[in-house]
Amino acid sequence: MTEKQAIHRYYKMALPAMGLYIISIAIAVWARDGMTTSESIFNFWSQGNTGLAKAVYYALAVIPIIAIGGMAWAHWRFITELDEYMRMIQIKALLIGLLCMLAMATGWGMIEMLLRLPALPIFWLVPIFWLGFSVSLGFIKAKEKGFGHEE
Amino acid sequence: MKNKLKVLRAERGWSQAVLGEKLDVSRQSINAIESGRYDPSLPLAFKIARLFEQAIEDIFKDKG
Repeated sequence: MTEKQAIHRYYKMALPAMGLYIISIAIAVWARDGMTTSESIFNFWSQGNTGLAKAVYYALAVIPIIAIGGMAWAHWRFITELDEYMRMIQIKALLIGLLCMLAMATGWGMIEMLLRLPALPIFWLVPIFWLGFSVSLGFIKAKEKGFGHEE
Repeated sequence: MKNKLKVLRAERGWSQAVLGEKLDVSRQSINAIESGRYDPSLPLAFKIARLFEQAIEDIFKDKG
């Protein structure tokens, strides 16, 4: 399989998963706001039925996990479809993304504790990971391009 | 690790893309191997050796 075909297969799976992640987070935020806004639809139908509201919240928490599972599977398949050198580049970028996420989580955690800043919602770690991955992948690929190619 | 992949390829008049196709790897991989930035795995080294009908140690030279 060529890299182009692998990228096409990756986007076919990863883009809907990313979309599901964003939508699920947006719905979760809307549902949370519904707890405090009296005119919200969510507040209206869940009023007096906290058991149902809790069940909906659990369901809303599971949807982004499914989306992340989809993204992880798409990426795993993509990496296995690449040749060994391109796979190494992807793994390097994934490791840097992971390090960015860990550094951000630790750094923000310390700031939160010492300076009493507002808590960073933990679901932001996923976009931070993907941002770290994308930026590092861009750098690595730009560096590789710098070496040029000979015919 | 040094190698004479570039010389062998040039002798046959193949581009990096053509060699990549023959070995089922990307052009970038060929470029990285030729410039010594990446050492291929043993299975890929065997594949290269078979393609050029040479022994692995005749294509790849250990620096040590």
